[in-house]
Amino acid sequence: MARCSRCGGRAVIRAKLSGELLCRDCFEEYFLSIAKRALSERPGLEALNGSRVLVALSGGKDSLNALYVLVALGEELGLEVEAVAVDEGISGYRDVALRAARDTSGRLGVRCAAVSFEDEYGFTVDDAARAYFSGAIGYKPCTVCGVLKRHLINRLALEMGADFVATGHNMDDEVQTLVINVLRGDLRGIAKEGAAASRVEGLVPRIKPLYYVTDRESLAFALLHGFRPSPSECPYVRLSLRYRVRLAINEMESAEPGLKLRLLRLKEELQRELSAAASVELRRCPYCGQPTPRDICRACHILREVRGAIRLS
Amino acid sequence: MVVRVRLVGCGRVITMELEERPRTVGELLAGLRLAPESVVVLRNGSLVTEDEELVDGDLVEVLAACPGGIDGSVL
Repeated sequence: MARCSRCGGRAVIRAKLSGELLCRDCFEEYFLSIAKRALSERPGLEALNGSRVLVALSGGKDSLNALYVLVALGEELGLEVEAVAVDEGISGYRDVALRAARDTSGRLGVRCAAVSFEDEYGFTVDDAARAYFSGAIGYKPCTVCGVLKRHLINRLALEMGADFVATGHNMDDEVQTLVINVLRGDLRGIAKEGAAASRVEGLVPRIKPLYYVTDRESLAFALLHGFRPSPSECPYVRLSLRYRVRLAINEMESAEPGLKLRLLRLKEELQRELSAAASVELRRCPYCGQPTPRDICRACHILREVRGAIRLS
Repeated sequence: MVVRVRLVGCGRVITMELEERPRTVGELLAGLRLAPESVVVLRNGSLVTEDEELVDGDLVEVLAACPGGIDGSVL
């Protein structure tokens, strides 16, 4: 039996960042401390003090953990935490996760608003997927889902006067995004990610308490808090480049431990070096009013395509 | 039956029984060609590290650390 590096108790996991073997209690302490570290680096504890934070809940392990740590650290950091759960309309998948989002926020005493693509946009991700598979639109379901969800959450955060939007993005997500941007040759994409927490009028800055947490640690934390994994995954995830990148990075990390941390450091260094490339001129989208570097924002472009395809079908 | 193994997610559950017991969780994962980085392991319901030794009759659940795929109803 492996022993906890801190207290000698029964170890349940090896922490990625510190390399320590940790027991349940020390892992809890570690998890909260690296979440606080991430928040102190971006946006900074002073900026957070007295702020309203809207947690974007998918109902998966990461966003539930993000909600948990923000509530746990809320008093110390001076946070007012609220949540929103978005139903994108993915049958057989999202309904289970949304129930988890509602239950968890209720148990943590956090008010959770519920919105849906169907009500907001008049179609679901399943509708958009059918349009994609029939060749009527070029956008993959993951793009439609990701872009519209960010757009909707930003609008809701503006409407409720939130100072920050918190997401469950973890270390694996960050590293995967870097590799995806490299594979696409998207220099501005690499630079832009680092600017996510900066202030742009009309864009509520995002915070990522799980920035230093791996997928694996996030799953372990969720299990230790009584979550049970449901054997379901988004039916569209295998269409995404991210899916293949995730598998490849995990395989390489197992063969050569430390690779993820090196990529995370590289990402931060690149973002510092490329900060000039991130400073693009933003204008207001003529349809929704949200900031965009394009003539029409990507969300409104997707909405136009999908709605056109659905009307034609 | 020496060790029962349940592989969970993303998207499916596979159960199997191993007649020959691997010495540790790490050996079990290597035998199944699973990257330790992408899973967490429960031995008889408790979270364990790769060094954990296995004994006859163990139930080992190997859970994939994929995005989402968690029923969080019991937090």
